[in-house]
Amino acid sequence: MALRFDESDVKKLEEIRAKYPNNQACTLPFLHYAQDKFGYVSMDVIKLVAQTLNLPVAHVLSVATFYTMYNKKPVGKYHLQVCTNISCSLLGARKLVDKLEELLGIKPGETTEDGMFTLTEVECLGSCGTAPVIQVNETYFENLDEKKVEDLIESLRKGELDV
Amino acid sequence: MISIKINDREYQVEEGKTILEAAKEIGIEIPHYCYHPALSIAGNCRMCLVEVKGMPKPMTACSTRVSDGMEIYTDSELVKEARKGVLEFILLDHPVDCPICDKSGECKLQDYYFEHSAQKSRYEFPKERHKVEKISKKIYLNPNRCVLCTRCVRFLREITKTNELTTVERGSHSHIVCVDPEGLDNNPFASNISDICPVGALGLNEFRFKKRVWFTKKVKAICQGCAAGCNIYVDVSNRKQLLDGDDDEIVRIHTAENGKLGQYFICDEGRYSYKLYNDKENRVKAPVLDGEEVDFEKAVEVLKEKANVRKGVVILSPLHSIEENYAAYLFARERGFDVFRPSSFRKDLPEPALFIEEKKSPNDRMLKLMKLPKVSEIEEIDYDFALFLHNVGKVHSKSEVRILSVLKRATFSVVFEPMLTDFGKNANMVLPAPIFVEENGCYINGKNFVQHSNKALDYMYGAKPIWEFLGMDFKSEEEVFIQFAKEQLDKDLNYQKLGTEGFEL
Amino acid sequence: MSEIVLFKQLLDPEVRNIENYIKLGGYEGLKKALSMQPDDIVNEVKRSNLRGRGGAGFPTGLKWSFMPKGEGQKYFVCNADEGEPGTFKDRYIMSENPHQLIEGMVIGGYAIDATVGYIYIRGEFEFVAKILQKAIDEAYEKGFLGKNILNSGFDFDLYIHLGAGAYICGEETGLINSLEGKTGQPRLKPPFPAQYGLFGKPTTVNNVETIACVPDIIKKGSDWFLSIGPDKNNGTKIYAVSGHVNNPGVFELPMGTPLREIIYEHAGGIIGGKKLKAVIPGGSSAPVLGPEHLDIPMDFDSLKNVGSMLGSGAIIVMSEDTCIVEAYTRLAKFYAHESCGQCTPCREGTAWLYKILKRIEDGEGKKGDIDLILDICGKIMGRTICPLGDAAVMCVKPAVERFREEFEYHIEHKKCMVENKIPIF
Repeated sequence: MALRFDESDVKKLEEIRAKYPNNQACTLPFLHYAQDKFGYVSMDVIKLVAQTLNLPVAHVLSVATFYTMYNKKPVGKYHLQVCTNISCSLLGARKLVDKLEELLGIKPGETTEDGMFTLTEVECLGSCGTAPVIQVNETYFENLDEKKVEDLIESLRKGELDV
Repeated sequence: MISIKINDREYQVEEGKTILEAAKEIGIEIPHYCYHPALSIAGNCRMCLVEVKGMPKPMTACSTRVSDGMEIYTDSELVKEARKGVLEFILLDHPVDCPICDKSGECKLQDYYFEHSAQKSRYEFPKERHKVEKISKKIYLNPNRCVLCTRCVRFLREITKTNELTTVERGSHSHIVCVDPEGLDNNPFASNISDICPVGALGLNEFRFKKRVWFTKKVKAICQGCAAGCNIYVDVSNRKQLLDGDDDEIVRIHTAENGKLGQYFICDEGRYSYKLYNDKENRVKAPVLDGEEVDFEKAVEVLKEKANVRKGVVILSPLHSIEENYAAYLFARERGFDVFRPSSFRKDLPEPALFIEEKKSPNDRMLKLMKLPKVSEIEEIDYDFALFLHNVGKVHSKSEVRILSVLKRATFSVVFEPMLTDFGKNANMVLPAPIFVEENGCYINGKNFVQHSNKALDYMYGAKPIWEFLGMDFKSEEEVFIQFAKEQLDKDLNYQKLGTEGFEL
Repeated sequence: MSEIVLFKQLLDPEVRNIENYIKLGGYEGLKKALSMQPDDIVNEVKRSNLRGRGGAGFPTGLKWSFMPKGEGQKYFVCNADEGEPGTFKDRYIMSENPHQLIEGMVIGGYAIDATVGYIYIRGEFEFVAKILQKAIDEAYEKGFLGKNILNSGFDFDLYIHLGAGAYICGEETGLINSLEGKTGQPRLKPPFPAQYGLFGKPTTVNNVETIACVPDIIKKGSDWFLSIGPDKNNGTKIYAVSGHVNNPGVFELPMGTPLREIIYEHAGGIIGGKKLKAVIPGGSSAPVLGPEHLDIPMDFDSLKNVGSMLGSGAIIVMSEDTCIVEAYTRLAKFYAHESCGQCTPCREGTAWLYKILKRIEDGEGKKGDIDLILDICGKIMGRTICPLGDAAVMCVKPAVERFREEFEYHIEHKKCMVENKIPIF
């Protein structure tokens, strides 16, 4: 079935549209919105955004694939994004990735079979003073170590954290 | 005009031009991939970096405008080193599969590599590979050969505004993809992306593995498809090949730019029209008299006799060159025959129409300029002699009917055409006309531009210019043209004066 | 205690609320500004020697003066795309003291005759954007944003635009393209944004920290600002210290504070009392320094004099336990990952640099690799559309030159010369 935005979506998208002088400028915010709604940015989502904004699919596709925050394939309920850039790495980000691989049985770029977790290595999250850091969905978890990562996964599994 | 120095020599150039354009006009070629005169400036390939005195860094010639007193170096050590660097970078991920690449021989990557680099690659890592695929019925994309100049993307975004291609991802993973194969199928200009691709990334399916370009001769001509008068290159085989014996045929048609005309692209209909001219089966292969082939001398003799009448008519053709038409016109004038012109065949414009004209003939304007009456004005008279010049293509259907009836009712009718049509079938005599690439010819397009089309092939199948059949004394096509220009345009023109870009009337 | 220009949260932890901000004298700069002529504001900022805190250190007042006069839409854009590795200062201005940025935006908008402002904040900072949006809503309610601000007749609307994960959008024309809804590929310059910027209109782009300095400059005057920090490098600077230090974090200090003081006093010295091996003074793109540079005043000109740069003021500290080869291989990976792919030398060169460095790091380096790296650097530097290519070179090249022995050891012995290092790969 073709994807669509419902009435409440349209209202919210119109609010976004009001911030800009043209449709094209809405490409990024609409893609964010669509990702929130549909979970990831599939080709169908790209087409829907293009159609909604009356823009070429080519344009929306190039934008969607340029930016790393648009997930081009489905991600788990919790998207664990481990910063492995310099400041986090100097303080053991690699150990966190290793720990997560062990705990979840997946490699970076993969999603657990139950669809709960996706593990991704990301570039600097601007949290270097509280390194190492993992961003879970929208939420930053800072000053981590292997023990805290274990606790974090456990809390997430139990659904104790709103991220 | 302002004064600039290039490589220590002073030149006067037009203000507002970029360094690349100004240098080009002076005759200094600055290598480039992404620059294209009809597209927006991308500045991404960095091949055109030049040194500008006073600037801390080399500048892109494609985007930097000249200013008074500017001192530019296009051949300094810095520039040479920069070009070498860019070429090495571009070639990192390139497959270097020239032996099986159809662009080979006319590839800017090959040419520049030999001219500006010629060094061994120092890259020792596996290359990133993408699928080579047919992205439409007409075009294939080999992303591995792509240099990401984005000419194709810009062409489809800015010129046809159809956006079938785009770049995706970023960094060294960037590549071109097609998001709309059907759109490309229906885009009447899609195949231009093969021409403007400076390397072998985009090509035409039907040219794939067909011919090495160095076995072709590239001749500049004028497209015969409509009144736009687009400049084209006609590539013809230049040697017999062992595998296919096809010689003397058009291998392909592609764009020849004409900046004066503002024409940098051609339509697909024109591009693929070459097949019409390769139709050997229907080609008139000798003069035919009452269904029987006769030799040239016999044809001339019969014509001379049959034309020796009072009531004759000559119907010219918007599908023929000035030279063929004017020779026939002079023949009629000498004898006091009537002269008429058919109306051009028209076709609705596609979307977008860009460089296509409704009138499907290359020389309609010439006959109009001569103020010749239309065939619809022919009174219902039975002529003793009727001559009609026809060519590949069509005239207006009403004209067709009219002409056919004139031919049928004439005592002796002659049709001069390269492919046998109903006209020839209904005439007493058919004369083998040359196709446009078999001789020099000039055409006046819809915008009043007289342009010259070059001879690419010898006359084939006994084809000859009309003046030879009519026993007229012209030594060359140019002689006819000079007389036409003098008598009809009141101008002292010849082929040299027309130049490669033509002349606006 | 030294002067606080930006981190008012140190004076009142709840300053993110508009009432608290006002209590601390907030929006008084705006009131004063609206009673001034726009040109006088530009001149006051010029006189203050305020220089861009995003990295380039370009004089802010001068940048504002490039904006054309006359009718027509103009835009004022805040660069909050904080993405330079090691940099985490702007987020604390936005999350802890957001009104100061908002106030600076309105003043700047008034000064350059822009009626619309955008804050381009990196997508990962959505939680920061939410705090900022709340502050913007408060400012609208109080009449500091919107139509006819404080009955001055000046209108200014302020919107937040979220990025979506691309370091290159920190480059101002990449940012503008991204705001326009395109890929963040930087533009050819000229034309500069002041002539042809956002949506084709005259535009000024300034960094968060830069803009947040403006309200106090207007309120207290440029002389006050000039009294902080060394000549031509005035004001305070937020130094963001990360890496091998005991007390990493952000510290607002007078510009020109010596590196040693920042690392050993404010950031608590190096973990485990280890020796300092290398320090990046201004975000990953700033050429690396060593222990002999500890007494350098951390300001634009002093760092330039030793061949590095203040950049974003992000200080990354590496102790003796750091393998420089590994650390810089990781940074090279970052630049390759973030290259927009538009121009040849950066697209191909950054990826190639990373591959060679990774080979060395993996013990598969070849003789000649070091010279090859330096040669590639030379073929990128100054040949690209935007400064990302240069940044990659300024990151990698000085490190390879300074620690050449370590790279050579890696190539020759196929292993690291540093024991007890924390693995990065």
